[in-house]
Amino acid sequence: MEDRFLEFVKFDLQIIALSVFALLYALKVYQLMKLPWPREMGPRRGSEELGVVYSFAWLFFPWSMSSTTQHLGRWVEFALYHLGAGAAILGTFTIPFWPAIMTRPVSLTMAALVIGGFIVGAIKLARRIIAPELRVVSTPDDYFSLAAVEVFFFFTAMALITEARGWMIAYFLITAAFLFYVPFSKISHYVYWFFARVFFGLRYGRRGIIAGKRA
Amino acid sequence: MSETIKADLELNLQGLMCPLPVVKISQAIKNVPVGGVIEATATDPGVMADIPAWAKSTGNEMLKVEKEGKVIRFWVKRLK
Amino acid sequence: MEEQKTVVEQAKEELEKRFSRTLAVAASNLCVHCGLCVDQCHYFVATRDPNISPVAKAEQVRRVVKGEHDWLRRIFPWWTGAKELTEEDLDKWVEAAFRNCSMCQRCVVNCPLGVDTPLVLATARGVLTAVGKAPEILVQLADAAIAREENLEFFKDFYLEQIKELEAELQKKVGDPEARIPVGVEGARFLYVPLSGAHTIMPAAEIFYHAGESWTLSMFEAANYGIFLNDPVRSKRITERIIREAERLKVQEIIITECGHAYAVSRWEAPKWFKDQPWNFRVRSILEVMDEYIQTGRIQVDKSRNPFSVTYHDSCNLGRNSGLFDEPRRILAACVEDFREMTPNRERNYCCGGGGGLVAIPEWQDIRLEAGKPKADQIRATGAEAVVASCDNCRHQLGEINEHYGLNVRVMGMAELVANAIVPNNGKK
Repeated sequence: MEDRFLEFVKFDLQIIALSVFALLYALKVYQLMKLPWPREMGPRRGSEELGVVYSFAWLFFPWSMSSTTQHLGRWVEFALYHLGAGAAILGTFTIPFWPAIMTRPVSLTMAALVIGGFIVGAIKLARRIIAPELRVVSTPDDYFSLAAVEVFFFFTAMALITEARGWMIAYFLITAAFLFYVPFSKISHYVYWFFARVFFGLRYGRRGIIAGKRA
Repeated sequence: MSETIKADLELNLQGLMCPLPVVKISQAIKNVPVGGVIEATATDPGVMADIPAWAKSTGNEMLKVEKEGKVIRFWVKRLK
Repeated sequence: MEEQKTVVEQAKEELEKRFSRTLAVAASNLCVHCGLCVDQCHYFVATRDPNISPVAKAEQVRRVVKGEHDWLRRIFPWWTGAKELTEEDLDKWVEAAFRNCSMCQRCVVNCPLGVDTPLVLATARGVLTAVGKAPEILVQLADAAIAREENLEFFKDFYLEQIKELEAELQKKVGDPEARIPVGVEGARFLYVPLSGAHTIMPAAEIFYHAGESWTLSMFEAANYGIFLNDPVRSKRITERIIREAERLKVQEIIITECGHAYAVSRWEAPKWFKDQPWNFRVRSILEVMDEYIQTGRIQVDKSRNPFSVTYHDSCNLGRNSGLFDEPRRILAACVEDFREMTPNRERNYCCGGGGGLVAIPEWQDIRLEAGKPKADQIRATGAEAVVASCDNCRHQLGEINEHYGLNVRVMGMAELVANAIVPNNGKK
């Protein structure tokens, strides 16, 4: 009987939180889709389709932008951080819904990724506090979101490593809280990111800017 | 002909890059009193069109235009 | 009697009018304030001022947009930085959007998320124009261009006389008393749209002469300062003069002189404004035409006629905004002996600092020259004797940074370089 609570946070609460989360995202997307979209009309110089492919592919190739070429370390941070986030989010699904896959090596690998994300998160937080160019643009949400992800990473890693009931309960409670918060914060950037990359690809592809060769 | 209008300021607008002719006269007009006159010279064909158009749209008065060989001379009066 | 709206109310209304899907995304939580754009901006590179990085500039506007649209705006606006617009904000926007951004788009191609910072700042420009806070000279330049059409009868004779003077010069230069600078010729293949200066007419006329081209010179200038105001009404009217002229003369193509923004406007923006009345002629840059002439052998060029080292400045509006990267390089490969790329180049090139209408604003010359430092360093590093730019705004700015930073280079236009390299007596068909 005492596992009723664990079962609740693991299943019912996750489903409720995910439903609210999905509903809020649907609303976000609906609000965007309602707005007018001034499309490019000039005769094509390049390919819009290829532009969109390039636009998304750039993410994986740090040399595609001078910002990430100049700051390769930042790209590595980005990769580690998002791998950590991916692993932590994946855990919220696999632990309750696909326990069979969560063998010890899988759990520990995921924990390692999450710890990587946690370390990068600490660096990000420190940079945000120290670097003047980041401080001038930072809002409470910037600091809180980073800190919240750190907490999420911490409990994920502990849950994955220990597989103990207490850590599991904490992990799922935090996940649920997180799901309620994310749509209101900058953590929701990835929803807009999808749109932004499409817009970028269409424009810079059509105008023949990004799919050309570099001298 | 040109001695009939007394200019408060003379301005050479010859051979300038875009958009300097209009920028220069717009700056110069602030340096003459209301009722004062700028005498400007230009050779570029587009400037023939730009200066009168600028005078018209800013509510200043184009007093006269005169051609002396290759050079065109404008007199613009500051009205406000 | 209707109550007079305050400046802030007008500004909010204008902002709402411009609230499109693209703006909503650019002004949303998309930007995570990661700061990777910061040192991609020539203003920041030159000044190291954290307040004029792309993100810092955009944030000033984004916070106000969030004040209207962010979900937390009613409960905890300060949490995401959302704020209510004030008149002081508008005054700060003038600095952020008109003075401290040349709309070069270098931050966009370097943003991992694709935040369209120039769109956010251009929106601010549009709002400021609507409430009468845009730099006066940009408004005057746009209005003068519109008045030029209304004034046509007044200047026409003088204009044609001046063209005759240039025609005489052309005849002397090419040694042919039959050489023409045609104006108002119906059925010509090209309508060539110059800028106000003769330097945008003469080299092109010489090239067209040698190519045996069927062309006619526009009565108007290509420049469109309405675009720097982000004022679609003015911009459309300015472009419309040329479109009407092209329709009247039944030309096949409009050829835009070496002017970055004019090309980007006619090639990419104008089709959006005239989508209900599409035209049936092509719009090209003189760069594309010169490239075609050289590649097809319609003009012969000899690179030994340009025996000095040359580097090329990619104007943001021609390159990063319009995709004209290969054409100028093919021309240079044919017309100069020693071409040297500056680094970075193409879509990664730095703005010269004069874009976005900044060259027209003498009050801001100081920041414009300061922000031109990365470009000056790029040019110096090539060791080239000449720098070519296919945009009058860039050329003017490059001339000033040449002097300011003691670069000791010659600033040239591409048509001038091609005209130098032409092997005469070959082209007249």
